[in-house]
Amino acid sequence: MMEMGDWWRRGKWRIMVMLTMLHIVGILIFTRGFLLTRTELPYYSNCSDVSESPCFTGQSNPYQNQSNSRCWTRPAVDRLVIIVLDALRFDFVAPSTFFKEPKPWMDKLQVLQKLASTKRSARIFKAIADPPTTSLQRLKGLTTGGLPTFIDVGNSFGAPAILEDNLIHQLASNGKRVVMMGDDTWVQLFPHHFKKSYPYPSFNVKDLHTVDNGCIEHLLPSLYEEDWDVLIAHFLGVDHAGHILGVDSVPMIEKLEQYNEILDKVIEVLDNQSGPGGLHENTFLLVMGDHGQTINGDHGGGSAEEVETSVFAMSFKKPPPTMPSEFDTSSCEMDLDQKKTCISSFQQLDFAATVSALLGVPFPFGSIGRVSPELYTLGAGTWNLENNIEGNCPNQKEEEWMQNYCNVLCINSWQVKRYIDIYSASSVIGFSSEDLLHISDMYAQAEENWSCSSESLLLFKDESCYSSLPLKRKIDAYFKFLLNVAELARSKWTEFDLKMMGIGFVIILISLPIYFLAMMTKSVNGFSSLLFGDSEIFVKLVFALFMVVIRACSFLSNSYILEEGKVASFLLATTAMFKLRNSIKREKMLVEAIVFLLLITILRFTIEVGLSKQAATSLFMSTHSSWLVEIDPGHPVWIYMAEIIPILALIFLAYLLYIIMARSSCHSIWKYVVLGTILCYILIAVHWASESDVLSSMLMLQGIGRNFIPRIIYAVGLGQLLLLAFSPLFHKDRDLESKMHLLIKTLAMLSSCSSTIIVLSGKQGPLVALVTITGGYCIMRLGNIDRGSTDKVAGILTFDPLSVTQWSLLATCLFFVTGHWCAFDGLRYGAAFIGYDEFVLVRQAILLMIDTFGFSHIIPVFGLPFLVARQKLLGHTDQDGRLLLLQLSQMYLMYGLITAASVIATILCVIIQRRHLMVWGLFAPKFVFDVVGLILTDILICLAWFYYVGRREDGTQLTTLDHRD
Amino acid sequence: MPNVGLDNNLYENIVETIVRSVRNELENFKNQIKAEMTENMKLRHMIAMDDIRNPKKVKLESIEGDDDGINQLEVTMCPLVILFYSCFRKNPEKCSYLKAVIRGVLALPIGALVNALGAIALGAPVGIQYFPKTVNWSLLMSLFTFVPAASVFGSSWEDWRRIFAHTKPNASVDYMICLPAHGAVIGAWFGAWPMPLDWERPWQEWPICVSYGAMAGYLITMVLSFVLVLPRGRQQHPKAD
Repeated sequence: MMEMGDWWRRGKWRIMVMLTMLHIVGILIFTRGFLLTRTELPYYSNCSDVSESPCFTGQSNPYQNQSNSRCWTRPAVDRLVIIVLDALRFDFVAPSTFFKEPKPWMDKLQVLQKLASTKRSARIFKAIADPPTTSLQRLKGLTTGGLPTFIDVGNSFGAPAILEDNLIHQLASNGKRVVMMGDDTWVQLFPHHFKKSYPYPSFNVKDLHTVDNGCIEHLLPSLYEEDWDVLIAHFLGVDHAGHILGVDSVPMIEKLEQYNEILDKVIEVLDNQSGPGGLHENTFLLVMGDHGQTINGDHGGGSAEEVETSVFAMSFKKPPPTMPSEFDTSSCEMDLDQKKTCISSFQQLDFAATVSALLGVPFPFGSIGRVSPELYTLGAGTWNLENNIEGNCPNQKEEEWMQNYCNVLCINSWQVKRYIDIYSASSVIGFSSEDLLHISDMYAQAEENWSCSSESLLLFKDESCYSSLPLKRKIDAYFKFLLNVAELARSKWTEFDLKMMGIGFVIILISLPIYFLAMMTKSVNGFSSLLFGDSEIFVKLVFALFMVVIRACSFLSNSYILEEGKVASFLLATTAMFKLRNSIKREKMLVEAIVFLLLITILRFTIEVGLSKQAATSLFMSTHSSWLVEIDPGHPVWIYMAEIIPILALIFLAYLLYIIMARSSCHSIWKYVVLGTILCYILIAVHWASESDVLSSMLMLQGIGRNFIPRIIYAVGLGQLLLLAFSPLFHKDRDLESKMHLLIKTLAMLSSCSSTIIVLSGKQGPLVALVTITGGYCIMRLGNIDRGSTDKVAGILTFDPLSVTQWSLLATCLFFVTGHWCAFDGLRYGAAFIGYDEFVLVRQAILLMIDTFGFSHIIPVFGLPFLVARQKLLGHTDQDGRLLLLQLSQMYLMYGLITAASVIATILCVIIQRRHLMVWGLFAPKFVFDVVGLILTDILICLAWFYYVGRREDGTQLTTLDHRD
Repeated sequence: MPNVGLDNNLYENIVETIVRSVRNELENFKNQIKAEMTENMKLRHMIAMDDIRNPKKVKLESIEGDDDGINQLEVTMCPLVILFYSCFRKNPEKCSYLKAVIRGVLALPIGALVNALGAIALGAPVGIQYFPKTVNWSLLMSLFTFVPAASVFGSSWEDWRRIFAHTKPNASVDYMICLPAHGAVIGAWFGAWPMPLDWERPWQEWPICVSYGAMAGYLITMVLSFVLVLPRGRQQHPKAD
């Protein structure tokens, strides 16, 4: 027990390193389960690829010679009309008899129901989408035939255009003319692919009609045109009506009735021209939803209501196609008119492959779907009946169909296999080798024995009819292979690994009690004295913990995450008011308290400016900052102010440093470091002056290289850090624990970091630095309010817990003040190119990292000793270094605890909200930022500890001190 | 001392009137909420009826309706609070009833200013269209916090410090000032929490939910202070006789 205690006591650095490792391990495990990643491959399918497939060996392909236009599969339909009704629930389309009880929004699209029940060439499908069920991801999934994830690693990072191989690309590159109308997301995704497009803005959710009316305006006239092969019309009204009013509302029903009318007209037009030689002789109509929606109109998650959407397919070919009964998986019910309606099931994953097969274009390279038998039949069921109608086998039609379908499946399986193989070879996080082996096995099984061709089937020919048995077996084998691949891909790309997430979370959670234990090592009875003795500190501790807990809880809602900066400043202002109350109570440091409050007010306004910037790019928020409008940014006075104030602030900072250096007697090495910083500040001022139009003309500074000064500053900063790191080698005096020394060390460290951070932050840098200094000073002074009255170190906490909380909240505020927010578009990419023109990943990433986390993580962690050192200077006069060390360690632990607690809350929220609409838009970026911040904080705390304290704790000196008490 | 007895009678009368007015206010709230709900329905209907050209306008109108409610509340409560607390002025022999009332009236704008500054530090929206709302709200807060203290204590810094910084109420009046004031501030603080949520309800606008929070906190702590004070009054009563 004693040894254990000694270990705890002596090895603070060990605990810190251990906590860091714990966090890293936990986060890695959690991330593996949570952040699903998929690599986008830059390959495209080509018509000629198919010769590599095993499907056309020898003379087995009877159609190859017949038509040269043929690519992968024989085109079955000439023209395709796709009408996408956004957020089309399954029960909008299916007859209400399929559900337990009829609801007001059912049976509104009666034209579809009627056709499905009366015509053989029309059918309703229940389409299952894969989460995330947001329009953008779904469109991507539908066209690529893949499963989009949060991080689709690829070239399209940031830009929405799909660079992966996709259906629209294949259509365009194979000479199909595509016309698009409606939702402008399509144009964002496929900027150059459409022959004609009529995009309408999809942004305004409250606008139910613009997109739809635009669609209607162009849809019917286009149907009479000849200049397209594929027509896409994307209606948004139902989605928007759901978002603002929910499913059970009057506008929703009105919308559905409107669609019914439009669809009726569309089908009438198509039907009228479907005669021989007509414009729509061989046209295929698809009316489909991209995803479903809940009763409240939300979508994005994976609940049944959200993923179940519908496809209505109809062929206008005469005569109508037939469907072999073996592959018909439909379920039938009587509809309202007592007619039999059958509904089949369909995976959206299969859409790209099926449509490609129908139109005869290559399947998208990354497609892992299967050509759906039922949908394919509707389009291609009877395509060669004309030739073989005189056959005397009763089931010859089915034979022909199956043979054709088997061929299609062969190509399909080959393409999927090719994708899986290449993906595993080129992706860092591919599939496991067992899974790959399993899949290869199944593919080999499907491929062996027979080919689909009629020659090999001759063996099984009895009399004049083919035996369908081997064909069916083969098709089943292909099915098995394709379904297995889809299942594997789903588990890899859409399902969170809850077990991993749980383990990771628990590992991170374990760090919390360790923090508490490590903070309480001084004495066990300290705890009781904390509870019953010093009520002041106890109240503060409770208040501080309350703030931390309430901030952590706020992450449960997406709204609070969006406005995290405001929440932090709100809490900081609350603590400041608490301090003001205290200072009134003690009747001292009133000025500091009020200055601090004013400072927070300034911070708060700056954060709002940042939020308004975020709102401009974010889909999720709209901020109104009315008071911003009053300042006209174009006014010359403001331009001058914007140029000059940062430089003045910088000069003031340099002056401040100089004053402090001049007043304190310290070692030459620290002096050199600080002098270097002052030099850097001057250089930065010169740099900015040379960049600005206003000043450069005055100072004639244009000539100096733009990149030269920042590089010097980076170099000086690095040199300073190295000097500081090796400073123990230069002098080894024993009075290291003295508060003055600690103060100087902190100052040197901060100053050497600050120049780089300031130059990266741009013009706001020196102002933010001033704010940080003022805020830090106020927090430190206010932390001392009660120190004078209770002149003893009572309880386990030797410091004011509220001060550390404030320091941490201030750090959070600074993150937002410097114009960042927790999203990838919140990174200030410009900062990465200060001093460099060309892009080198590691170098630019480091610069971006320093800019992003400089003021919010690096400076606060290294500046924490100020709170300790000044406290000691004011309160006590004894030179007890042990107490100083204890305070320092407890403060660092407390700081780490606060950071870890909020990150744990974020992780918990991510677990709870993993199926939330905004999980990828909001929670996941927040998670990434928080996690990186936590690891950085941990590492910085370790570094700071080594720098300020080193391993001195292990020395014998402390053991003797321990024996004394 | 008949004076105290009279005071106590007065006190009980006032308690009764307060209780009645509180009940009235609650009734008002209920009506307000009902009205707001119908307003809400109307808003939804408006959107539904395709009149969505200017949803903001509809929203603002409904909010202004709410502001009126708060205004009314202030107008009715202000004289009540000032007159009521002025009865308990400190040193009644030195300071006349009228003087206490004047002190209360004077404290109203000063307290409003302090409250408004506090709210802005915490993040209250600033802008021309918010100005009247902020003024309304801060007057209300001032009524809850500063006015009673000013009526009772005047400019005695020691007493103010004792009540607001140390939170050490001694006399029954102290309880009736200290607790509701703290309750109102804490209630307002909690009332601000629903504001960032994306429910898009009209009451989430500044300062409606903050006012509701303040009023709720005020009412709860008012009742609490009565509970704490009434036994004391009874104890003091026989002693006085």
